[in-house]
Amino acid sequence: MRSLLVVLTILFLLVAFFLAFTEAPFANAPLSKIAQTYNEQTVAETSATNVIAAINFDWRAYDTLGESTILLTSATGAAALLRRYLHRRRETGLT
Amino acid sequence: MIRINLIGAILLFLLGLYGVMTNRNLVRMLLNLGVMESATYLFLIALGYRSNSTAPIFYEPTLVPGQTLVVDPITQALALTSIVIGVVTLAMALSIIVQIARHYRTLDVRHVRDLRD
Amino acid sequence: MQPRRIQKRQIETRVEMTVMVRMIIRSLIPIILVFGAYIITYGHLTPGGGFQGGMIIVGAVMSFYLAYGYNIMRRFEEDDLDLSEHIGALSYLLIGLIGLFAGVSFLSNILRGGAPGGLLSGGIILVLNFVVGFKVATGTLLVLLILLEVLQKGTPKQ
Repeated sequence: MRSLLVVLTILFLLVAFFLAFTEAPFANAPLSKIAQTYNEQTVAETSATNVIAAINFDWRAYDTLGESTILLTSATGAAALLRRYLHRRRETGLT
Repeated sequence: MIRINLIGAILLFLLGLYGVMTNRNLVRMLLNLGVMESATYLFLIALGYRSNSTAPIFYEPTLVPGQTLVVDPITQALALTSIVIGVVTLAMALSIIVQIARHYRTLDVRHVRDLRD
Repeated sequence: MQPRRIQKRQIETRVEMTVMVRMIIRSLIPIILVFGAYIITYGHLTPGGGFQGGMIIVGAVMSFYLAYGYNIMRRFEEDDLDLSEHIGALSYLLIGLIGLFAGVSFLSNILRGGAPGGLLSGGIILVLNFVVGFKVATGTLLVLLILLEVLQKGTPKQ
């Protein structure tokens, strides 16, 4: 019974995804206005030839600041959750 | 056919979803979740493709920004951010799985449901 | 007189890999580190950047763990890695505040200018690539070392 439910869910999602994504205009759609602006103005204004690095670090540098913060959160969270295994290191005296 | 990228990303997503629904080990469910995340990155990058266009890197002097056709760079920047978020999710989920394994003495997801102390 | 104790034969388990693997990894690690530094430095010209280069550096350091076992990873102090990551996060913020104090907006590109295609041309993109690469390398290394330490034998402190 449970495997039948799993297979039905997968088939339903397969049909739904196919109907949704293979009818949309995909490779012939024009670029959005913001993408055209990024492509044309990056080399002239920031003189960096990598448009994606310029998007991440110049046009949208504030989002990369948030991304640095979540990396900090992951290190602090992992250290906080696994703190009882970290005291072992100081007890064995090998550092 | 160009849309083979989209179809491949959808199939990879459904493969990962089947793995999450079927497995009983917690670590295997986490690995299949990683497969689903990779399918999402593939889908994002495949969405930005345009015909007869090249990558948005203008390092060669023959590529002029106004006249060369390039693909959409915004979806690629979004995929880059999503990869970092996926790494963070994986690290936190592994820490929680370590705590669950210590508390329940098992990694079977059916036994974690019991109200045991 | 005490009875002679029967010594249990200690079975030595080596955690290191064979000598060929160790030699190859020892030869390859400097190349991978230089490659990671190249990806970080040329992040504003060719594909790459801070995040990608930082992960390459972590891959090079973790291959030391694969070849030599966990004992070689005890040289990394977790407090130092934690401090380095916090320094990296704060310096991103301070570089942004420089733009605020100079009269323009937060995190604006003050050092722009230079020929496109040259190494010193990105402005603030070059500096932020270094900061983010340093932060990602030390932060990911810290998380991996914490997760590896769970597997070591010994009783944890209650």
